[in-house]
Amino acid sequence: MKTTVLSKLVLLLMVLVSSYQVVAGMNMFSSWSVFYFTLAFGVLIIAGLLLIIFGYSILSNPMVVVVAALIPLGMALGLICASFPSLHIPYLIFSTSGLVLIALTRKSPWGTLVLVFFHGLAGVTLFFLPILLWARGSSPGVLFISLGAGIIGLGGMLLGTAQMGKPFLPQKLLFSLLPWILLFMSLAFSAGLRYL
Amino acid sequence: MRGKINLYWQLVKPLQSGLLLLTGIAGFATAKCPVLNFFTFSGLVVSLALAIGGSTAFNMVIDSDIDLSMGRTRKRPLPSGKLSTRQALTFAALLSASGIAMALYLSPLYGLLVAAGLFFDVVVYSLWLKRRTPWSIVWGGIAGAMPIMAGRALGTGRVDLIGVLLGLSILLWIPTHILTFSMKYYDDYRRAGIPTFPSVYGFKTTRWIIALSSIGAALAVGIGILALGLSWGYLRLLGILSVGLLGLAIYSIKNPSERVNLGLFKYASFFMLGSMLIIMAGTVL
Repeated sequence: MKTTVLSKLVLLLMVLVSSYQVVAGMNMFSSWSVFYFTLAFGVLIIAGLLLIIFGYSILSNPMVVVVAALIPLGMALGLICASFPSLHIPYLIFSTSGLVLIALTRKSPWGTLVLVFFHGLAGVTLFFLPILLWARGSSPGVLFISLGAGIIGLGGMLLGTAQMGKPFLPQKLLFSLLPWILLFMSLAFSAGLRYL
Repeated sequence: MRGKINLYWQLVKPLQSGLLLLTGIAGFATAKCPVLNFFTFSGLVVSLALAIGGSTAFNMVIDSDIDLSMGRTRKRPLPSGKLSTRQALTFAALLSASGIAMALYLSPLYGLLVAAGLFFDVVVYSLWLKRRTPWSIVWGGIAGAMPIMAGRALGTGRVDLIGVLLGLSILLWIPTHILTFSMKYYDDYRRAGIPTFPSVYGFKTTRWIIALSSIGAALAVGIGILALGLSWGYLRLLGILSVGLLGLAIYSIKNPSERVNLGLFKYASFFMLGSMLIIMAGTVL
């Protein structure tokens, strides 16, 4: 399916928001957090540009599943590193092994299970950690990260069910929503990181 | 009248010329001079636009026989007969002469570099080498590197290492841009008798050259940004764009197809546009 002009514009906006975040939105964090957030936003930037250039057909490339996992894993790692530094190494081991396992089991019958486990756990971390931080006295603005996690979780589920052949939404509607999902997710993550 | 203006507009290839003009503005911005000095800044924009447009129009005249034999370019104003060679030549000469004169008035060094760019593009690349050797693109690349070097020279008053590095990044980016194009239109170029890298060295070698020149362009612009003292954030963003460019270049070697080639061509344009915006934002903001 071809990408419409509006979708391309929304994707471009998402690329600009993510680029701004990489340039100016993470200078207050430690080097490790900056590295992980850069990884996550970097995937968003490149994904946005590739979607503009190649259209949605690129989503069927088997590499996309592995690379896309870097978004929640990178964000969650950066968040852990910034708020619970003592958990950095254990979470790094979890994330790295998750990424390796996702790549290795791509074509095996276990692939979906491994993907859902690691992707899901990173998503859960991203969703609940800001709520925990808020409960401990952080600014409510940090909840924007939870909002971003919720948005990408919804997007991931919609795409996942479509790829499994049991779509919640017609493909055309899903693809017209995808750029907006990516834009609002990057906006929510960018807003939330300001309050971390 | 409107139709006529449109025909002349096509002669200057607005997108390609616009991108080169942007490199010149970025080069000027790197000098950290007061870029909002209306006279110098507008002088740079107008003189570069005229000179780049003029040299592009000259190339259209020189290549009109090639354009006639290629499906992609057959409908251009000259091969389609909508403009005469005399009209196009007059237009090209007017643009070039006024652009160089204005550039020389702004600064003799800047004017010299703008004139050198025009000379390399029209005389060395198009007239002398394009029909003889695929390596002509190196000279086309040198011509393409001149606007950014000229822009910086106008701001700093000299040609320095940073200017050369930024010029080198354009020089190395140009193969990524042109070679993907020459693979897509391989048959057209072959029919027109133009030696290209794919026709002389094969597609596989060409893809390797694209990947290597992508690395080179990313490195040159990265070192340039470091030398300019831009913040790490800009370098991180450039790193991300470079990873995308390199990844796509490697993917095109492993999974060659026309679609991937065209995608690489478009991404390379995004990369250069992004790099120039990074340089401008990093030095001006």
